[in-house]
Order: sequence, then C-alpha cells, then structure tokens
Amino acid sequence: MERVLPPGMSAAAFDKGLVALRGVVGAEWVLDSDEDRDTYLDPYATGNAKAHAPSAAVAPANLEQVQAVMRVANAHRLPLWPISRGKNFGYGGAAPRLPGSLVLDLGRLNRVLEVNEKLGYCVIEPGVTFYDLHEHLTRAGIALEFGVPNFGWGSPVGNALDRGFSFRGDHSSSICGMEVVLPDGSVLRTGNGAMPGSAIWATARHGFGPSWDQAFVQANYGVVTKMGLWLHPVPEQVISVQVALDAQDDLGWFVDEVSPLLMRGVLGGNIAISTATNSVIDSSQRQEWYTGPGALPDSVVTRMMAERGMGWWNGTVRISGHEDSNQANLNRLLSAMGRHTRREFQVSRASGASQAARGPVVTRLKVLNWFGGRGGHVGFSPVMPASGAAVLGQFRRTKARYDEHGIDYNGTFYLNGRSVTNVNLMLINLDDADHSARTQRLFDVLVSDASAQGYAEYRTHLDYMDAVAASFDFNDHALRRFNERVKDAIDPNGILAPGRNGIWPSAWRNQRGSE
Amino acid sequence: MNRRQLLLRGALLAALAPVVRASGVESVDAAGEGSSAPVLAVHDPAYRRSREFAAALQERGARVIALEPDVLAAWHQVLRAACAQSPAARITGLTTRSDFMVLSSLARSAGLSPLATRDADASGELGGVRRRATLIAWVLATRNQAA
Repeated sequence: MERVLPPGMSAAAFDKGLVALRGVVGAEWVLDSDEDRDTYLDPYATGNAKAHAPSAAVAPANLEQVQAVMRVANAHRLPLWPISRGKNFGYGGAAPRLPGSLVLDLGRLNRVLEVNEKLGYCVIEPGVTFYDLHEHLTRAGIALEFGVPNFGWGSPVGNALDRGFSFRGDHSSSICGMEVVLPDGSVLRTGNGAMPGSAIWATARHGFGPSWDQAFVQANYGVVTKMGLWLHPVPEQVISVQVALDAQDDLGWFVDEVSPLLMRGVLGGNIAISTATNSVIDSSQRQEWYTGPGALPDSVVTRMMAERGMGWWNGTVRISGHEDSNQANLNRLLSAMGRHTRREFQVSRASGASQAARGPVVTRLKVLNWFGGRGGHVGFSPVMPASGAAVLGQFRRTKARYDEHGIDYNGTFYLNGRSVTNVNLMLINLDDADHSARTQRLFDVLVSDASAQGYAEYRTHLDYMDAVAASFDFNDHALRRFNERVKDAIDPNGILAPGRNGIWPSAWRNQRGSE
Repeated sequence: MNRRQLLLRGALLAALAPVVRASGVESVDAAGEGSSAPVLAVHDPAYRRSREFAAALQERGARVIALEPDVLAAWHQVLRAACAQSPAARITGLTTRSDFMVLSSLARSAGLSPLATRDADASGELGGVRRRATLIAWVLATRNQAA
C-alpha cells in the first residue's frame, strides 16, 4: 500500500524522522516499502484499509534502541504503535489505530531471559512467541506450561497485554513484574523489580505502594520490554470430558451448573462451549453445507450435528491435577450435568506431560477458507455475569441479529467462574462487498445491544475502540478523563499508541471517533 | 511425471512468471548447484496446484518443503534454521493467503520481506471433497534483495 502519513504531517518532516530512526536501528530495520507496509495492515479490514494504515515500521533490537526510538519519536512528533508479534487478528492485527503511525515492531526482542521451574515463572521479552516458549520449556525438560490461545502464533507478552486468554484463563492475571520504557525514553521496573537485584520480582506481585502492572495492560502508557509471567506446573493427569448438548436452551443449565464448580476450584482455567458450526468451519467449506440465501438455517446446523455426531453446543472440559483428586472432581462434574441430561459424555485420560508436549498450532486459521477466496474474521466479545438466564438471553439476542443480517452464527461462551466471555466469531467473505458491509452493520448493532444490557467487550477491534470506551461513561466519562490525564502527564507529545482503547492524548484528541 | 502434470506445471510457471523470476530459481539452475543462494519452495499438500508449483521449482533446483503439520511448525522446525544457515536464501510458494500471512510475519524478524506476490485461484481436495480457495504465489527474500 502507498504511504499514509500521520494526519497533518508533511512528507519532508516524516522523512527526517525516518533518517533519525535509521541512525538508531540501522537502515535495514526501518521498514518502509509498500510490501513491508502491507504486512502490518489489518488483513481482515472490512472497510477503508487506509483508516488504519501504518506509514512504516521500525524494529529495534534491544532496550537501548527502544529508548532511543522513543526519543526520536518525541523529537519528530512521530506517533508509534508498539506490537509484540502483531497477531491481534480479529481485532486489527498489527495495524495502528491512528493512520500513518509507525509500527514499533518488538519482534527482535525475543529472548527467554529466565525460567524458574521450582517457583513456576518465566521472564521473557515481547518478541518471544508461544512456540519459542514451548520449545524452550520442552528442550530443557522443564515441567511447566503456559496456556496457548486458539491462534497460537503470537506473543505471550502481547497476548497478556491485551487480556487474551486460553483454557488456562485470563493471561493478564499471570503477569508479575514488568520492565517498561516510558514515552520519554526512561525505563521503569514495576513491583519488586523497582528494587535493584530483587529476588522476588517475578514471584511476588505488588512490591511496595501502588501496583502498576495492570496499568500497562490495554493501555498506551509505556512499551513493555520484559515481563514476568507465571507458568503452570504440568499436571500429573488431564481428564478430558467431551460435552455435547443437544438443545439451544441447554446452554442455560450448563452455565448454572459449571460456573459454581469453577468458583469452588473443582474445575480450573475456563471452560469453552461452542456452537456446532464452530467445529466445522476449520475443516470444511460453507458450500459443502449450504448454498442458499441468508445465514445458515438451523436445519443445516442440525445436519452438521447428525453427520459429525455433535450437539448444538460442544466443548471439552479439562480436569487437571493429581489422579485421585481428578476422579473426585470428574464425579462432581458428571453428577452436576447428569441432573439435566441422560446423554453419556466421552471421557478420556492422559498424562499431563503428553498434553504439554503438544506445541502451538495455527491450523485454526483454516477458518479463513470457509467461503473460499479471501476470508477474514472479526470477534465481538462481550462479558456478562455467569448466570444461565443472562447467557441464554445474550445468545438468543445475538443469534437473532446474525440471522437478521444474513451472517452465519458462530459463538463460543467461555465460563470464567463469576463471569462469561462470549466470543462471536464473524467470518467475512472479503470478496463480497455486501457480506463485508452486512458484517459491519451487524457489529454495530451488537455493540449497541450489549451496551443496553450493561455488557461491554473485553477487547475490541480498532474500529470500535472509541465506541466501546465511550460506553464506560459513568459520571460524564470520569474514567476516560482520568486515563487521558495520566496519558497527557507521561506522554505530552502523544507519541505512543494514540487512540489505543479510546485513550487519546491531547495532541491527537481531535481524532477521537475518526474512521 | 505424466502429461497432465507436465502441462499443469508449465501453465503454472507461465502464469506466475514474475514470482518465479523473483524466486531466483532460474539463476540457481543456470549457475549450477551450490553456486547460488538456495531457494526453498514450500507447498500446502492439500492443494494440487501448490504441490505442482513446488515440484516445478524443484526441477529448477529449489529445495521443497511441505507445510506439515502446519506452517508454524514448518517455520520453526525447518525454514528458520535454513534461513539462518544461508542468510541469502529465498522462500517461495503457492499457498493459501493465511499460510502466506503467517510465514511472511514470522520471516520478518529473520530479515525477510515479500519480494513479489501474485494471486492465483486454485482448488484443493481434502478427504475427497473439492474446495475452492484463493491461493497466492509469493517470494520472501532478505531486505537488501528486496530493495
């Protein structure tokens, strides 16, 4: 794509900044060809691709270069958009909120700095991928693991900073200690890391005084260059229970029975339960099931269920731990579900080590072939209380909206104990402008519907960051005003990730709500 | 190789000529084995055109690598080491867009950028069922080659 400059910046001024950046990282790590820019675009953009087009990218190799890049950005007023591996697909990928921003690609900071098997943590840089971490642990024979999300090719640091999650639960809750480069180029260590030579930086969270780790999550206050993450000891045994529920309404009792088991610690992490369509979209194409108008009819979903031996809702409940306690926990789960269904659930047992040995995969990306041609996806992901009635209501409203817009419904509900996160995967046929437009309209109405219920997204696409942030409007947007006061105090030139999650620095505040 | 394969490979090479040229296989062929930067031709076994494209490049000196069990594993287990061993190596393929997206992103931190791309419709077959997917032909090369 041709170069898009930051709003109001001349090409000459921008080029001067690039020259200075080349002096910091070397000419080969300032990426400003059309092809380079293309790799940082949102590959699934349904609207105007230029709305989030980067001007270039800069890829520092170490902490000192990150600091120097920040200073150059301040001197030249260059907006930066930091990414770890840029795999935030469905939410904008590596693309910046503000068009013309320079992507600050941290992929070269890719060292696993420390792993402590006894205390169950690692300290890693943002460019380390799930695969790198898995490989490191496996090669060293370390009996620890970290949950990997469905699209498992990103960065554990980046994923945690966006509140990504896996079957292990919310990854941001695994964060313990960070090294952060602030917008002025200075370096901060959070928690116990503020004490030089701290022996507990990545084991004890809070240090002394305020805890700042979570202030850098989903924010634009600093660039994280190191992070402590708690890892999970590989369990002795994993029991997998394949759950298949035949009726749409079965979702309600499932939530009401399983959530208390999560709260009591009988089950760990989170439990995902998905529509039957979710199981076929990565292993078949739409044309094999349906070629008629509108969304997939329920009769087609019924056929999928029959042909694949699935329920309307399907999921795997994992019970991890010691063999004796696992069996007791399995009995509790089966007893709870047995109150509502006579269906037999398939139960399998494996050693934790054999489960942990499985590496991350990206086979789930095959969902992009659902329509044939160019495919994309976006996620709409509101959070609601863990009540069967609330979850069923959300499902019914959402599915009705999908049907109304002629989009195939595909939902997953992640049970977290006290809350449920509903990830609605919208597969987009990018070769069909009408389908893309309908998907956008559907997204708009879902945001509005969820807001009316008091539910907000836990994470959203670049296009919707301002809208979602605006729905947190208690006391005339007191939270947003506070976020932006902090932003202006530490980033007066507004160089770091302007607009991320609706936080706009004063220098760019007039861009709020821009396309 | 049967006649059908011969025709398909010829047609693919003609249709994707800019990518083939950018991959450097012809120079490998012309200069003789070992005298030029290696070319790694990857393919998705699910798509016949992808396999045949890689096979056609193999005949011109490229080393063929299947994206198995998936593109992520292929990068970490084979391609990354091959690029480290031969920094001037080029990677090329006719694959799904998602596999190209993954590979180009992973290869970026090894200093490789897209040198050429070209859309190519193709059908594939998995489990006896025919599928349609838009494939893309591409070349990844070090940035000084791309410049």
